Amino acid sequence: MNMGNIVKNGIVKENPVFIQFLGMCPVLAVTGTATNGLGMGLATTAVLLGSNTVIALMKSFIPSKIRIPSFIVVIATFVTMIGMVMNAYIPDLYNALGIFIPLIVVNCLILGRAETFASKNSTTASVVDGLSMGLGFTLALVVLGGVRELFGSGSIFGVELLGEAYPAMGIMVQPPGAFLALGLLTALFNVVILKRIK
Amino acid sequence: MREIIKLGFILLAITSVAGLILGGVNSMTADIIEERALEESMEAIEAFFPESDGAGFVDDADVLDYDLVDEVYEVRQGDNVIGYTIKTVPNGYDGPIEILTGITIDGEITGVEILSQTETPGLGDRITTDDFKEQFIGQSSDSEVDVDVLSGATVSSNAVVNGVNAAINVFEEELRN
Repeated sequence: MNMGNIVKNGIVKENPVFIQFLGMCPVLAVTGTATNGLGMGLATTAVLLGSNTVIALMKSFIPSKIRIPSFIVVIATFVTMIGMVMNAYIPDLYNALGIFIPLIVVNCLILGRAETFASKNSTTASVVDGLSMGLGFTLALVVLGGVRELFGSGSIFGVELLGEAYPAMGIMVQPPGAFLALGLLTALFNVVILKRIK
Repeated sequence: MREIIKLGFILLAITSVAGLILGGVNSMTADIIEERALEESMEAIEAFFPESDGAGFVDDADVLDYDLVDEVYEVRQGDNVIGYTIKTVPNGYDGPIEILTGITIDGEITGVEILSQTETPGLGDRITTDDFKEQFIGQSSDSEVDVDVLSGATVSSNAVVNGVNAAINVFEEELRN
């Protein structure tokens, strides 16, 4: 598989959020603001990159009978490491994301890539796949968070855009807004981007 | 049988390496995390008591056993205790909220600071705005505090009020002379 295709798959054709609908728990829960979406996306990308790399390196060493527990141990190690590093160096984001950082362990995107890609492909391809899928996930979260923040609080990345006169639609930053925005954005993604690529 | 043992050893090897790595990262970050938390508390204490020149932990089990109370600092100016800063952790709408409350030795609230919270963005997280926090300043510890709750964020507002009331309670019952 050539690298260009892997990148395109991760970001557009098999976008983890808009096409595969993986990892919906963090996608819906932390995208109240663009900043949180970006933070969650980057944390997930870091875990995905780490786990894909290590699993691709170890694939001949891990017997297939115990591959799932082995993958989980590798993923959990990266998640815990990243949680500790974030708590030490970017505490504001760590506090904002809260419980969703440890929950990256159970993000099915990460185990999914380990099982379907990293355990079957070369290390280089797995690194590229981890980065692309992570980037696709991050982009989706930033767009979703940005849209929700814009309509729900009148700002993007915490910068006031719409001013005091704008009646903030509180529902957009609450759970129902997450479903609404995700549905509408997925429709838009299908119409605008997928049509063009096919 | 042989295979099971072999698989067990492979898993043991993987988890041992993972454990070692995590131990290493933990020992690198634990101090920074603790130091930063302390620094945040100290900054808040300085804001509550600009005239203070030092603060220290109150390490008294009777005091720390109170409901919601997590840490208590004694704020000093020279040799005199001029007030206390009490960290309480009530439950908000979406998880615990860490609150610092500054109370002078005469029983006046000098400030409330939210150290960490996970309330709903745009609604509950407005408890961190100055407009909300400043309402507490100047109130007396003789009775429970009285503030306007934020519309749409009653649970979050009340959680902060509960935290401050818990601080007042321990101050009145244990710390005030």
